[in-house]
Amino acid sequence: MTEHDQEHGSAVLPDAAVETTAPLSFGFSGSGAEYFRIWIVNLLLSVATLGIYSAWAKTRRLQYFYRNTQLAGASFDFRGDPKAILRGRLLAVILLAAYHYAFGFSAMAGATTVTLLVAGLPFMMRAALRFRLSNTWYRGLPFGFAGDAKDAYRVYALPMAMFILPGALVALMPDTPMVRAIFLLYLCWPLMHGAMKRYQHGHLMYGDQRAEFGATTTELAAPYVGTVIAGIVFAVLYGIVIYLATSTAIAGPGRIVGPVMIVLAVVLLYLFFILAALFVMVRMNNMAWSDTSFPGVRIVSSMRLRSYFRLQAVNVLLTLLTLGLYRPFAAVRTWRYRLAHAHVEAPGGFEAATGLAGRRSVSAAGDGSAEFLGLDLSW
Amino acid sequence: MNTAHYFDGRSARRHPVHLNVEAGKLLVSSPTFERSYPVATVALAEPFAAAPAMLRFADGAGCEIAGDSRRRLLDALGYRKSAVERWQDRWPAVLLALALLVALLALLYFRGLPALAERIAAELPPSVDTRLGRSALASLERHHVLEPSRLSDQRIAEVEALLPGVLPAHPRMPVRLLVRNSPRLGANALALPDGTIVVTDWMVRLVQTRNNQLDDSGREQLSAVLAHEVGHIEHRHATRAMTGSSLMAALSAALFGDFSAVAAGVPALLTQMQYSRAMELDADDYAVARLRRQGRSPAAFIEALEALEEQAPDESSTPRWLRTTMSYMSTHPDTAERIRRLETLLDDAPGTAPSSQ
Repeated sequence: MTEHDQEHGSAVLPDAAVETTAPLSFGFSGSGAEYFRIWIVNLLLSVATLGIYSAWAKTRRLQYFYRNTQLAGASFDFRGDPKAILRGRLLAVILLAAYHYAFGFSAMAGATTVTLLVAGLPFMMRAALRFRLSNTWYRGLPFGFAGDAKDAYRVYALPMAMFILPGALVALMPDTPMVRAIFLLYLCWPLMHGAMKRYQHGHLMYGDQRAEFGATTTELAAPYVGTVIAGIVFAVLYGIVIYLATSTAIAGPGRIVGPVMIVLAVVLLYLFFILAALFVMVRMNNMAWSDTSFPGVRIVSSMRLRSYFRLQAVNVLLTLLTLGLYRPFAAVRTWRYRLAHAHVEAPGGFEAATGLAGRRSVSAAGDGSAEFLGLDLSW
Repeated sequence: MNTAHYFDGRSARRHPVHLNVEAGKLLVSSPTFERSYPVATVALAEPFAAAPAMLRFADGAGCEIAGDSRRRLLDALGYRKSAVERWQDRWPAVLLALALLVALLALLYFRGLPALAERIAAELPPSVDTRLGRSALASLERHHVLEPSRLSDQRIAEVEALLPGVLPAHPRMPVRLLVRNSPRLGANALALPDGTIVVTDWMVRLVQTRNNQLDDSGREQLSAVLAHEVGHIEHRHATRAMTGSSLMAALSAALFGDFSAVAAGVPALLTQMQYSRAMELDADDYAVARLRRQGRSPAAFIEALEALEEQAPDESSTPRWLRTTMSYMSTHPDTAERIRRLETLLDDAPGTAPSSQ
């Protein structure tokens, strides 16, 4: 560590944290107003070019957020090729159009498209992870993804089938009760979600360093169990509320109270679903990141449901009130929140990582289409 | 002289360095090493206001330069802001971008999409019309929107006999007429893309006399309604409208990731579809022209519309100001507006006097 001591002597930015065991926190130097200006020009150019510029817009968006993010005196960077993202988006448009119109042509065309989608999407999900990570740089080294295709199919084939098949089956054989049985697959969603997180985090790379991942699929799926129990309790309470509302409605003053109670109950139901989704997201995120570590480097995520809910409630409200103009500010606030609720413990610094020679460049096709299809790849 | 952080691209180590541009070369100097790169080979990434500027060198190494003093170094390296960067730097230009964006979105929605839908519809072969019409009818029957008619066979035959009178000499496709009972649709007539016109029992009853007879006036009114529907078929309104709404559905699926529209399928789309305001008025014009060509008065059409208006009182009981706004907002022109429009059409051509007997 002699070289390192020497470096410390002439450091421009305070670098003492690297030597001590004190946790390293993330910094963010961007602002909502600055990002708004980038966002609106990006949006205009994307619309004016009928979506072609959106690949460049995405690159600039990622670059804005990454380069403004600092950890231990160094910034992150995104170096993805916009043209690769554009190719991915074109592929996504073609797939989407095929999926949308195939059943209009014939059942055979529809079945072929669906088969191709289910067979191709896991591979594309893996390509998306590889593209995004291998183009994310920190301290002159790229991140990476080492998950293999076999695992990608093991993890993604079932969820993809679950999302795509019900629509296809309804189109192929309407009004058959068997079709409804496929919706039972949704019961396995927590395990599928856990397996996906495990696949994503367990194969992270930084330079030549492989990430270790401690959490098991069932541990990752646990937040869902809490939600289901809360859901049952909520459903019982909801039933009691409805019962009281309707039974008191017969009496004089209850006539008004009844409908009010029902409206209230519906509002509460929505609130419950939103809270449940945020709870699962926050808990899984904390667990997934806190169980991810590189040799000598530990990551801790400590998002809180209450503050995250408050943040997103304000974001949604202001975005609606401003007809969407608040969106860039909301994006910056969310990014800041995530950074503020994470830290890194690296007592020995990041010196252990070195570049991995001969790493292949990867196609962005997967990344573009994965984002286009609205699948969660938010890192 | 600038201070920066140097990363060699082989390890994660951070080297504090000094940067200098001299004689076309960028000099990187630290206490332990010196490097020099020709300025032309240094790649500069877009510097954001507060983020460190990123330099990348041909050998895989790079520098991060924080602080305000970097401006002069970037100038020395020959960094030029791109047009996009200059645009987003100035607030007036940014606000202009916002205004342009709103204008562009409006233009695309009101002009671009319909034009694209028309183009696509023109490419669709007639077999598409046939299939769409068949599946729409099957779907309407399966969901009991259309049930067998409860009118007498004789009355149905009388109604069916009216169709040839309003058909053009060479129809675009064979047109057939079905009379169906439909409590859900009430008094109504619809044109399906495959050339099938459906007239509901209530529509026939609406134009009958008090003692349930179909007199000449009733026949003229029904003929006018049929002429309007033939207009929809001749001008291929159903397929064109469906292409538009299907395009919108595909677009919103792409934007919001909502694939439920796919599961619902095209027949459902068709039953929910409304003709655009322009198409409705277009079919009105067609009906008037067709009736006039045969020396018949379009006045019967107004009577039929008035009868329809009376049996749907909700529409006319809305406050006047609201109705005006609504008819501009919605794509469906309200019946009263259509009647007024037809009346002015009649006034313009006084040669064709009403002759409904």
